[in-house]
Amino acid sequence: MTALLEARGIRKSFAGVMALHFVDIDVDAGETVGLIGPNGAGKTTFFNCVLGILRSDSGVVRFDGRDISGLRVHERARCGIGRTFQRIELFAESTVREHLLIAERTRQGTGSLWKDLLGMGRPHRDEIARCDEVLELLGLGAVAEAPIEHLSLGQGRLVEVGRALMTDPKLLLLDEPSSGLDRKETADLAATLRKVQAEKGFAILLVEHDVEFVAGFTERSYVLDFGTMIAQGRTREVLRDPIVREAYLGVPATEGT
Amino acid sequence: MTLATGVGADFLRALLQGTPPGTVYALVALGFVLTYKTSGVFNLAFGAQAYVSAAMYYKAHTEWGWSIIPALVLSVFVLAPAIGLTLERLVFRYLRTGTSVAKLVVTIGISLALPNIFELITNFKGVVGRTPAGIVPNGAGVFYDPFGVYPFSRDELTTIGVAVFAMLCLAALFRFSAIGLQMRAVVESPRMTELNGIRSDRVSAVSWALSSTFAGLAGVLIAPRFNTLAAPDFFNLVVVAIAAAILGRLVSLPRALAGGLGLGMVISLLGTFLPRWVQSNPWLRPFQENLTPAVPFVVLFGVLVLWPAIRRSREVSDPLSGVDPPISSLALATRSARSHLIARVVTVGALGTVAAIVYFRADASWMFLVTQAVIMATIYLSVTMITGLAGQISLCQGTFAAIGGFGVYQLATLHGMSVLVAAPIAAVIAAAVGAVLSLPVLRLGGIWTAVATLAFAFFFDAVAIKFSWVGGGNTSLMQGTRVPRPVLGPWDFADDRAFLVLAVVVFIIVSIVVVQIRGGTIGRTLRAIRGSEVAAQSIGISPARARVVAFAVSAAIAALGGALLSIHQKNVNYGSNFSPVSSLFWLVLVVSLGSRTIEGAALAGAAYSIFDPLILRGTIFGWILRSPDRVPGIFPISPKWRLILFGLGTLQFARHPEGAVEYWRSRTARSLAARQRSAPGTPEAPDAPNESDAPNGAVTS
Amino acid sequence: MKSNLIKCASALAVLSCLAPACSNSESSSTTTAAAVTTTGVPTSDTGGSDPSTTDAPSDRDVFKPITGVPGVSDKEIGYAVIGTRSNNPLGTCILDCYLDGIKAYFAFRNSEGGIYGRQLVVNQEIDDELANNQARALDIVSNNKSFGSFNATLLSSGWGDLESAGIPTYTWGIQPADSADRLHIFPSIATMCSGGCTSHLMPYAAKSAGAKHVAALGYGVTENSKTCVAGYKNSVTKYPEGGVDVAYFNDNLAFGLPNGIGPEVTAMKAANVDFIATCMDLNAMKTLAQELHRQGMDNVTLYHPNTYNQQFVTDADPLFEGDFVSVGFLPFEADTAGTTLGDFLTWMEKAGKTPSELAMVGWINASVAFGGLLAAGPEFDRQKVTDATNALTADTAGGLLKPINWSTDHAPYTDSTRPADKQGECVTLVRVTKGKFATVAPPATPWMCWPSIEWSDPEFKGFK
Repeated sequence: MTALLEARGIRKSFAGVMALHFVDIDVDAGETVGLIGPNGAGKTTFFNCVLGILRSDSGVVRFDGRDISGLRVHERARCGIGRTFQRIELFAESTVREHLLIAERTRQGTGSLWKDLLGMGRPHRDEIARCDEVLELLGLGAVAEAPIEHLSLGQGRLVEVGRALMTDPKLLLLDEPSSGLDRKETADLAATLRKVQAEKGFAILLVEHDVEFVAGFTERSYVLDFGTMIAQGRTREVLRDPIVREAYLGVPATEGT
Repeated sequence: MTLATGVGADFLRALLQGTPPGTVYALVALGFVLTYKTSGVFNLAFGAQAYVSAAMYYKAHTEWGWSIIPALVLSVFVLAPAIGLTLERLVFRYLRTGTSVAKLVVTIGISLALPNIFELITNFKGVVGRTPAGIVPNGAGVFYDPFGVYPFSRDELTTIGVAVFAMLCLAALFRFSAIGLQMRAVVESPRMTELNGIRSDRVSAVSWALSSTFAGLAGVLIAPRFNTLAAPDFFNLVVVAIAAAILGRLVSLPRALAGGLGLGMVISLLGTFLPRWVQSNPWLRPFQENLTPAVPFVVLFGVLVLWPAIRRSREVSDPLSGVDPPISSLALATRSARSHLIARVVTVGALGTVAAIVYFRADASWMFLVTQAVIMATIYLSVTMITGLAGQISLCQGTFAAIGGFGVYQLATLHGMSVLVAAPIAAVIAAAVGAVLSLPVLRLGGIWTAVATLAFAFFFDAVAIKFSWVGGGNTSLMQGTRVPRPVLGPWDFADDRAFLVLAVVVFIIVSIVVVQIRGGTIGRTLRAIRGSEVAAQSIGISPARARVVAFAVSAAIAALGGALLSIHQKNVNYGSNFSPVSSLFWLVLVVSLGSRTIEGAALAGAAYSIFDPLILRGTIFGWILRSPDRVPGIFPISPKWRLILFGLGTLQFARHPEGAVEYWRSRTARSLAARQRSAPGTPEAPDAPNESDAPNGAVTS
Repeated sequence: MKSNLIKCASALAVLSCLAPACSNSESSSTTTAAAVTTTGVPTSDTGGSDPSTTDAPSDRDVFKPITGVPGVSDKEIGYAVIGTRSNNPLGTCILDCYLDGIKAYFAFRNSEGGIYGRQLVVNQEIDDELANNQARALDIVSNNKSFGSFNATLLSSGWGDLESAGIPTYTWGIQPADSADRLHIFPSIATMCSGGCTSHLMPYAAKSAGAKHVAALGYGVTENSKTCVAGYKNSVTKYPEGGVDVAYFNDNLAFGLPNGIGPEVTAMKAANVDFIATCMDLNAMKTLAQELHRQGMDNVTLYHPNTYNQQFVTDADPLFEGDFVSVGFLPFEADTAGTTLGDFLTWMEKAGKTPSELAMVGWINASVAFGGLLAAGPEFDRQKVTDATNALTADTAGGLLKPINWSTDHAPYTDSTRPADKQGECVTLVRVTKGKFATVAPPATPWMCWPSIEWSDPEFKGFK
């Protein structure tokens, strides 16, 4: 059986500097995989290559058995790749629910100019119900009507998750979800994510700094350093790998457990 | 001088002949790049700054008889930096972190106000038919012929020398001096610079003094090229020079210089060789006829659209693209249902009363103005659509409106169709043009979209009007572009009252269209893209597609309005209604008042048409005092003052980029809210504008 | 739901529009166009005097009480003047100079006792700020304070409304399209030929300059300029007797010549051009002359359409020495005998104003207005004045214009549809001689007239 996401031989260089050097990553359906590495290791570059924000110099990205290397960002998203952002990207002047509504409408692909003009572009009752279901699941039910300016950072990140969920993703890419959150918020986020994943059954590829978070959250991990894959395998084992520890100069050895 | 022949000599001569106009473009392009580099402002007011110094020099040197040096010192080294410092202190200091549209709008306002302020203060009248003197004695009368094929005047040689010298000095300044580095740093990240202990206020003041001085110098040097001295000429120069500046991606001084010279030379080469090629290849003739007057706009458009490096370097060269501060939510959205209802009832009541008074009491003149206001409001809804909703700056709405106007003229007058059928057809044509145009233009984003649409507007102005299938050709020469009023069943819209009703109906229909789109899928999609393009893409939204729809709808609305305006005036009146400058004027008006609501567009329409007679001519005082004879003597306010007021209005916009309507509304909403829940402990609603420090995220806890 | 209702209503409106019930209003220009050809001379119960003897003093002093005619009181006949002052892109003096001429004419006639016991006055002076002609014209229509109106404006969007309101309107005739087929509008230039019309004048001027190779230059921005250049070309082709050919032709210059005109002048030099006819404004003419000087072509003769401005020519001296300037009315340099030119100069001087082209246009417009009043008789109203003016078949505005036949001169035509009575032409031309304008024809008979479309030497005439 092929994996859900197959990235093969991804190579990318910027002005002669190799950012990714023939990186292979697989993510199976429903599993939770971590992608770790020190700053500048090429995690974000890899992420962007998978999402189509960057075009890799060579290599193939297959998703769900289909070669998506030539697709544009929004086309890849429609294939079932959802994501969140390290620095939160929300839509200004929209409420929490509106974030989910537009994602839902885009997924259905039923919106058109003519429907708008006939007054059929407004949110339907069943759409709202579906959004509210996800909001409840994420514990955002109370702030559904709130403008996003009033949210906490943790809530903001959950809104991103909810927005991604509305597209029915098969794979969710989380870009440093713990950044800016304190320990408790991170733990809450992890718990919520796990709960939602259990219900919806999507796979997660997690790019993360916070080794502790990765250790607690993922089953399998890849480690990048200077654009090269230096280790892969079960997360706990990987984190004990001396090469990995060396790469993580800033991380005290005791934290790797 | 004998005429050297041969292609080689011709080529050299053409290059030399292109040098003097090329130097003019190069000077303006250099100034443009300088301002952009040091302040991050896409300064359309550069021409106005240059004009003021040139006029001051003319006044001092020619009218007062001062000798060259003191006149030069006064106009370039005293007046120009003073203007730069004043502008910085009063305007641009508040705009450093403002949106690119805000900066653009403010510079348009300044470019209208500044020459008029100067002319009022100094009682200067534009010069016609006299060649302004240059900065060297007898500059226009002495010629040197370095290559023996084409002589240059002393003025021209001076200008070329100064341009090259200034470029070198400025380049050295940026590379080697501390202040040069600081200026660039302040533009790229004002906050970061502050953190590093550089006082960005001071640096930005120096920047403005410097770029303004350069503008003044350019103005004084350019003036002798023309036999007039008038502000509009300088504005047109800026539009042309943008093409040269773009070649330097707005950041490279040497490239701007080369771009300007190159533009002058290309035009000269085309002027030399195109007619010859046409003789042997007649199929080239349409190109010669249409390309020649429009070369700068074609270059500008072509460079923007076809040169991928511009797009790729967007983030680098436009340091503020993508970091526009988030816009606050509409006051409407945060208002309570009750105050909403009250406001609506009051508004509808007031409008109804006004409508009734106008309908039953207005004379032909007021009927005209009110109808025009309604139609302009309809056109302005196209700005609401593209700028308010999609967040794109289009400077060619006047062109779309003109397509509407010429569309009904062609279909109704020349092909005998009812204008009521012709107007929607014209709107569809404009939508198609808009859709095609949007594909290359809108992916540029931000300021580049604005420039590309401006180039399109000038291109249409220079080329398309002449085609008989647009402007009417010979028929229009004999009869003008007259357009009939429609008849629909029992209603004859030749009657102004009936036509007013028609205009109001169209406005309401278009408003509903805009509201429906805003609340529907397209509007939500656009809002998402505007909020965060990457996030929108991440849920499967195609920004290109959504923007094409927005641009096409906007073009259709503008064309429908333009058609209606032409039917109303019974003539297309391209010159007074739809020239490229009118598009600029419209944009400024709408965004200053509020580009995101129907009310904003309606108010802008009223401001366009009624503010002038009601307030500025003092009519309202006549009504209050119950006699037109008792209107105070300061009325009517002179047109110069009106342009100044308009310019100053944009300064208001600099502080409140959400527009006057929204500002006023959210203020009342907040004070209402404060009164209603004066109980302690209620969280204060956040201050509406400019409050977020997070450039990309919008989350403030 | 509300929106759906409105949507349905609008759909209905569109549908009904496709039905034959939908058409364009009949009050459009087509009907008036028909009127002009059929009405010709209106039934003249209005004075009935022979138009050529408009100066019959018998009626002029008769006072009859008139009520209900706008702008007319027992003491005064008031006129509104609209013109461009602000935002004039050419920077020239329009409204103020125009007013000088009108006021001078009124002062002149008032000094003789006015007309029908009343004084002629300007009771509204309006700056249309370039783009607001229609709004300002409608102000005049709705305040209805003036008997007639004068218009000197660059954009003439309001003439249609003055026409519909039946207000006698006298205009600076640079916008023939906007006065075409409008019977209440009396332009100062009553030549309605458009679209590359031929004329004897330019070939004649070239011939008298001893030129061999002609260049025709114009802007590519407007259809007006392009067809004007085409007119030169057609004229040269049509009249080989002039002895010149078109050696260079360019009708796509950028407006205002921002890029200079170096390559074009080089090309003209290569083509041995010795005479250049243009359709450009005076500022661009100077740019052209400067470039000719630079490239050593000082001997080329220029033919100017818009440069009748002594101050301008003096400032540029000697760039324009020997050049021709077409004038369009009796030049200031002509003999004044038998015309009101002398009065014009006198009354301008009395008011302390300099004679200018626009002042002359104002004076001419005012003359036509006065002539119409005179022809209408002491019990005049707007319609009577319009009708009486349109009955004039040889109006020379006091000897300042070639005779205008107002009964036919409102109708536009092209070279190919030239009416029988428009085969000949009369024009005036001046030449810059020692820095000053001088009439080409003898000053006593400054008009050069060609009786037919055929080539001939012009007859020199004077008009009264």
